[in-house]
Amino acid sequence: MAKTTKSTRVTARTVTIHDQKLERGEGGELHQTASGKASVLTTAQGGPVSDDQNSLKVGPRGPTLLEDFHFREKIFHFDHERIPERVVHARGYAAHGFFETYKSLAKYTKADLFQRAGEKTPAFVRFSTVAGSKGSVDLARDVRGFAVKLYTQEGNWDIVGNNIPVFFIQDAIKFPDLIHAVKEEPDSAFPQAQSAHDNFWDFISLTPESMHMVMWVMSDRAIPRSFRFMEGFGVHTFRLVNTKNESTFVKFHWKPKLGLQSVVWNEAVKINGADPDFHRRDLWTAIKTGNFPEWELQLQLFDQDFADKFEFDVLDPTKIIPEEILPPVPVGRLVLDRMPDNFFAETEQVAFMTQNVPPGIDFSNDPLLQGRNFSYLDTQLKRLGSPNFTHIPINAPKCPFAHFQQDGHMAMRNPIGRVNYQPNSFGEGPRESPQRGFTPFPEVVEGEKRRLRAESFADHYSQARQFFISQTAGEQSHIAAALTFELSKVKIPAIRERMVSHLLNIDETLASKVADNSACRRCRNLPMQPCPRVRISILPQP
Amino acid sequence: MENGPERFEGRKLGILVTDGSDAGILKALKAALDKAGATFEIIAPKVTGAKASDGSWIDADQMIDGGPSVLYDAVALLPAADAMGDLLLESSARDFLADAFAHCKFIGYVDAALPLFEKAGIASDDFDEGCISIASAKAAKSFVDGLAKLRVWEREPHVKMP
Ligand code: HEM
Repeated sequence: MAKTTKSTRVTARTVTIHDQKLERGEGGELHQTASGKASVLTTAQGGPVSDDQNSLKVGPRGPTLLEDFHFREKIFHFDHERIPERVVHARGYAAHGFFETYKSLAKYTKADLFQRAGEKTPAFVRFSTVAGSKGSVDLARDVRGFAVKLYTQEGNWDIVGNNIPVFFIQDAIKFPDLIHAVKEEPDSAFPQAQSAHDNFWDFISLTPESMHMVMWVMSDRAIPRSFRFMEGFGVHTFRLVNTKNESTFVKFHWKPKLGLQSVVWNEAVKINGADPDFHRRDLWTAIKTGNFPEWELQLQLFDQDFADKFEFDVLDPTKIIPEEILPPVPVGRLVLDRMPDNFFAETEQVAFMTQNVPPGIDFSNDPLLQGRNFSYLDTQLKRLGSPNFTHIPINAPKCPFAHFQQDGHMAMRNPIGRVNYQPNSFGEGPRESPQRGFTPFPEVVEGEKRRLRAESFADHYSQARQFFISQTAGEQSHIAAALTFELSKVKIPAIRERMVSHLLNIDETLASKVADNSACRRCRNLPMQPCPRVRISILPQP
Repeated sequence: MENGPERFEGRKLGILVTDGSDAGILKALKAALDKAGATFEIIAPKVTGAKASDGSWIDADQMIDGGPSVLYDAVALLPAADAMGDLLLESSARDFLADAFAHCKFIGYVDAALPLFEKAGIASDDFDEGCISIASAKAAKSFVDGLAKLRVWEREPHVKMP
């Protein structure tokens, strides 16, 4: 039998380690004990803990006892600290702030936050890269996520945007393919947070609709100097709906007060080594020192008539409406003035969802947006683990809310009282409101049920070209250099050649520069054929 | 680039100092940055800092290995002549300048720093409008005023093959 002792710590001696006084246990381990202002350490159940340095054993050298509930609880909790990272946009950083409305937009929308000049709506904004995992570097060449949650008085409104106004694909059904292709290859599990590899460019070179986006991602925008110096875009066409049920189409733009700024690629590569958290640190430092970053919300507003006349389809997320044709109008400002107290609680657990819209904001039929409206809810169950993720404070509305949803894992608040259904004859509980409730814009839609891409989506090169030629000579050479670099990491010559065949449709000088510098030995000599410009008719599948 | 802000507000200057750095120039830089709404970090051979020309102590934010120029929007080189022997031995100091030049950044310098340019492969006829002497407090101020342009893109064709 082991000798019984009164306390786990047989003889404790006070020792001084430089500037700290602690107690020393039998084995030389150091104990910091509660005294003065320090509170008493407890278990998650609230039980005070006597010794957090030693597990409970039979004798000092014996086996650990199963009955040590403090040890078991501590390890159990630690073992389950991680949750799945976001399936995309895993690496991100967020801040709190507010949105201030400049003047009433009642003419266009009944959305409560746009009714009164000077109205301040609390906001939470998360910036991210797309491809890399949670621990990847900040200066990857990538699109940046720009997700804004506005806690309006009629529910949360999430504008889940990017720092580039267009996207790679036109239909959400291609999203898993796009992301599989850009992320690390499934057999080798590399490269991390880089689009410069065969799979990505293989997919891209077989996805002509991505060409406009490719021009933007190869531009300086994909290596921003700071989150503070980026634009944000809602990308899709949305609708504003007023009290008369009139709809106006809208595109959302965030313009940074301090302007746009990017780094150069050679610099980005070195920043990634010197400070992989460069963008995080920048935002943290700016906000902590009172230099609050600010963006202006600008809207491109247009009607059905404009949409019908515009040379591209406003439902196609690979197209922009040029600002020269439709100048955006400023309607408010977004200021970020507070860092979260805890990264996990807020930044990691925040759940942005395109389908979160208040009355007065509505969707368009953009097939990318329609698909996203399913994906973002679905993914939260996987990531946050319970349909009660809206109970997490960062996701909860900041306006009054009432419903009959109940139970489920980690329910924090259930309906109180007898009634948890509706209609009921007890006069209890919330009821629907045809006046205040969200009503979709009653658009008339008809057509055959088919898997079909609209022909109006078929021009994949004109805007890519427009974007390229709108750039300064310096910027154009950055695009050429970026394409050259990316394709230089592609091992299979046919993929590089395929890319050149697309570039020929965008700009011949660009195409020949890329072909010359990297793309391939063969296409230097071969007369390259531009790939077909318009989709060759493919019969719709049932 | 085109939509660049033409202001240094919210940006950061990296200031390389050594023992003996000119306290007056440093003070002028800091004041001008403050006025522009910009920030700075002090990079020194040792993180403890350096003793300025007037005997005052300059606290450092980074030791030279920890503060490469890629972390800053522009740089200022304020070494004292006596410290150059050591600095020229330090490859991180060479990289600090070579990268700033390659990345088309504005570079303010005092004459004592000139040997570092040579070490960094920047010959005297490579000097362009982005390499600016800040030999006096007044020059330091106008250097900071000029940072609003953010980068010297005109240099790029000279540091990058077509
Ligand atoms: C215009 C195109 C798109 C934009 C601008 C966009 C933007 C974003 C942003 C900013 C985030 C990060 C949100 C955060 O910070 O937590 C995100 C996450 C995500 N996106 Fe998208 N996305 C687009 C297309 C799509 C599509 C087509 C799908 C699927 C069909 C999709 C599925 C997801 C998923 C599952 C997440 C992870 C959400 C989470 O775990 O919280 N996205 N997206």
